[in-house]
Amino acid sequence: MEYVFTLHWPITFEVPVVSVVLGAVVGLSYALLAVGLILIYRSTRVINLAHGEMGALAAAVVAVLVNERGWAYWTAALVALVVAGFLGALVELVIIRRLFRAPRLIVLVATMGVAQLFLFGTYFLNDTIDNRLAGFPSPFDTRLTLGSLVLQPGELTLLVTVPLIAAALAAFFRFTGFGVAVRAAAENADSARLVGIPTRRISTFVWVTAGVLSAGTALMLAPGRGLTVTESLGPDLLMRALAAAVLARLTSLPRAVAAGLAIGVIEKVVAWNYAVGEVELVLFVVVMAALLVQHRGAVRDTEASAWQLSTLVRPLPRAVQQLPAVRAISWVGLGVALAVAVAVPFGLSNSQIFLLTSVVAFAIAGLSVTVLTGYSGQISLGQVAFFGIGAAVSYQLTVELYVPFWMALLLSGVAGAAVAVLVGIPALRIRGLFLAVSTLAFALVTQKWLLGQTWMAGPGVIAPRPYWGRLDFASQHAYYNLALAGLLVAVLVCRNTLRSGVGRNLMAVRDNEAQAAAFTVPVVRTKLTAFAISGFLAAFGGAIYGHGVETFQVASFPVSDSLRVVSMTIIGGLASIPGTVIGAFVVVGIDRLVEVQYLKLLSTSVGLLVLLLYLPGGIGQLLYAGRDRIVAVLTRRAGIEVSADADAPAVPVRAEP
Amino acid sequence: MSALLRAEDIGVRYGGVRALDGVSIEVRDGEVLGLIGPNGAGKTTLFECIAGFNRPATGRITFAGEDITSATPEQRAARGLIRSFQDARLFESLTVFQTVLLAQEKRQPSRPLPNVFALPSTRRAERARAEAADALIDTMGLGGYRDRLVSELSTGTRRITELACVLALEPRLLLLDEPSSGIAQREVEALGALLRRIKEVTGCTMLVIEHDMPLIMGLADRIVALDSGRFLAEGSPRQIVEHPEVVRSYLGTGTETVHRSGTIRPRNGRARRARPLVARPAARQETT
Repeated sequence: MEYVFTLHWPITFEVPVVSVVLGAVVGLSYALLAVGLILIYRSTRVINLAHGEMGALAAAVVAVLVNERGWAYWTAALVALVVAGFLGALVELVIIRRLFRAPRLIVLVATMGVAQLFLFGTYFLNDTIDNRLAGFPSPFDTRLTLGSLVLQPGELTLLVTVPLIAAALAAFFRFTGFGVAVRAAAENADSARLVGIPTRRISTFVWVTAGVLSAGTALMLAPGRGLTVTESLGPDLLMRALAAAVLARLTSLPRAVAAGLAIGVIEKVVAWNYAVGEVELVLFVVVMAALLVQHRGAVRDTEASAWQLSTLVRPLPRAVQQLPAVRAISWVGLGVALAVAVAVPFGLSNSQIFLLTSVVAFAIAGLSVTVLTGYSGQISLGQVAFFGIGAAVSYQLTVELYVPFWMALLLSGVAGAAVAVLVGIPALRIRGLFLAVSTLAFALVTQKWLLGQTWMAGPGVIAPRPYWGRLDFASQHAYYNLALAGLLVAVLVCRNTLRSGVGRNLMAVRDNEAQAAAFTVPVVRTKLTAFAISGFLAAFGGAIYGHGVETFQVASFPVSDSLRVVSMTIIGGLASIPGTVIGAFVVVGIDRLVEVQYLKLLSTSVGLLVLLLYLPGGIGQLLYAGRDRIVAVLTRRAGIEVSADADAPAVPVRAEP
Repeated sequence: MSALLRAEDIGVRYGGVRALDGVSIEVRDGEVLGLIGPNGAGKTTLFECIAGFNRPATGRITFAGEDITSATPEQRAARGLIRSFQDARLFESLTVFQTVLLAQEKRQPSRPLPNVFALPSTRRAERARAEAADALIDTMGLGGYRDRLVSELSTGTRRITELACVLALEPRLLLLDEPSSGIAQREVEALGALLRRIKEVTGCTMLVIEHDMPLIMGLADRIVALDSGRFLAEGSPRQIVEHPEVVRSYLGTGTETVHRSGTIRPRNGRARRARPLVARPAARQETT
């Protein structure tokens, strides 16, 4: 029974029934994940990047209990659901609750850390399984055969349970008092608390529910996907669930189910006709169209001002600023840092020097986030896309078009800027977390489709290092110095941006868009400028990285690296230039120095979470504290009286100006 | 006097509520026009339409003979249609000095490319802006606050900072949204003098929303009263305070609203009318 409906015009396009059925089944799993994402968004106003990983960890628990300990499936599944609920509660109590008043960006990054931590747990558990041939346990053995398609037990369960769960949850939110309280708490936490709704307990409840839902999804998906569920619960799956959630405006559960179904069917039917990359392209277009069409007025912009820095940097008084010694601080700091950076490679092995080169390249990408998110308040989870584009464009220019290396670096930066402006245009209407979704979709489409094109990186390329006359940059050490010069350029670009009118405009639009417009600051152009500078820097860093690794392919720029770039900027303090560079060193350095794969996850995730909870200003906060101490000494020496005029009269109204 | 700004038949709906229902006003060149009315009368909505922050469903707005109905806020500001905000929130992470620097964008816009590469023109422009900003800060007596973050200041000081910026923006028509909001009662008189001085120095026309009747009566040449999204009355300050409709819907029959506190007479009638001025800031918060 292989029914295939074929469209012959305008293009030949086949719609096989089997693909539709399969699409509906996977679509239901997206729907269930989307429901969990929506619940969390409604209660915490954040997109939970750890959503899939909560369930994956629970699935690993089942695998261990059944395959290794010989437990009965249903007992193990019950334990796993409890574990997942417990994990949800733990995340809420330990992290989310403590970040209740923090900017949503910080919470988003925290969920990223949680995701890595859970991933570590999953790897750890999977590693203890010896009996790998048994595959993932399944509850019963019924299979349904439709022509060439065999539906696994888990998939059959999906078909039955997902509509039931969505309907039950929708009814719960609509008809029960507790459900209404959850909605009220999500709508306006302060008002809800004023009328006596226990918002904190509600938040815990929602996280528990989401954990259980995620575990349920993973258990139903796992039999078809094998033991290593985690790899398949990566950004791809997250993106599809996010797409469904966004199509449901992050509110309606029934719509999320419908959207999940639609995405699943589109995915499978497109995949039947074209390659995998085209699927991502179609999904990207669907997500962007949905965001652009529905956003205005659909989802109220509650996070408008929640994207600021967590700590404000107190400016120095003018009299202090003008002291020559004070003015020299940052230049002396830069000089010392450069001297250290130049001196370090002597005595290091080639592979260690290469590690430093990638730290430098990623630091440049980190600076691109500093400009975009730190100065301009716009979140991007797609910076690695520009990184990859920079590498590919620079390869094409130098190898295929014989453009001189330095010009290729510059032009790839320009290409990155141009693409970033295109990506930024929707950002004029999409904000906050929605922008995070659209940039994540962009990163996916870049990795799965754009970079794979033969005019980009194709199946993989070799990008040689340059030489200028007698200056040969082929050695690791020489190329490291070149990369360092690139970083210096990037640092200066950032500093110039921050210290000039354009940086002031960026911050003004970030702080108060309406007021900035009233001051004649061109809001649209200013936002796009941030995207352009940021895209330039990321692509520039990518070009340096590309010639640094020499061989790269599509897989060299995984979407998860975008998240790492954001986390290095957060660790660095979001708006601090030296902080970001140190953050890159910490993230990339630790990653490459720790040998065991899952220990990497443990170290970066725990480090990130501890930092977010106890040092929200990141390394930058420490640097500024140090600066203030030095300045205090210098000021005292210069004999300047700095009045602590906190008690000055409130209003200096003068009748005659 | 010719009309500098003309807003005709402006209509705005929020869901099922008609916030503005076909309101027309005209601001004449050189005058100070007051806009009064109870909370929810549509004053701020009308304001937002004129300044371009709210797109009216119906109506047409012309400024200096040009149709600006579809212009963006920044385009209107560039033409000299400058507004203030009721909360004077300004920019949390900028200092007073940086805020006044930002207001120089009208005269001397920053150019991204030269800025990013720190070309010599950047430094020159920045120095010129700094001089102008410092002059304004001195004029407004903000010297002691120059390097303080705006978010650390009281509403009153932020208001003065905003007015310093307004001077830099060279308004032709200045839209002031409750300039006295957040300012201590004893300083409102000084504020009136300051606003008159700003008008004198810049030669601008003003449209002022204000709840403080003594302030607006001393300032305005003409007053328009709105109620429930509709035009209610128009006239000189004297005519308005005696207009029966205005008295009924807004002022009440007590005289204390119209005169300064300190001259409060014994209460007569309902408590609402006899509201003492000191307690007013809470009652005065506009729901926007």
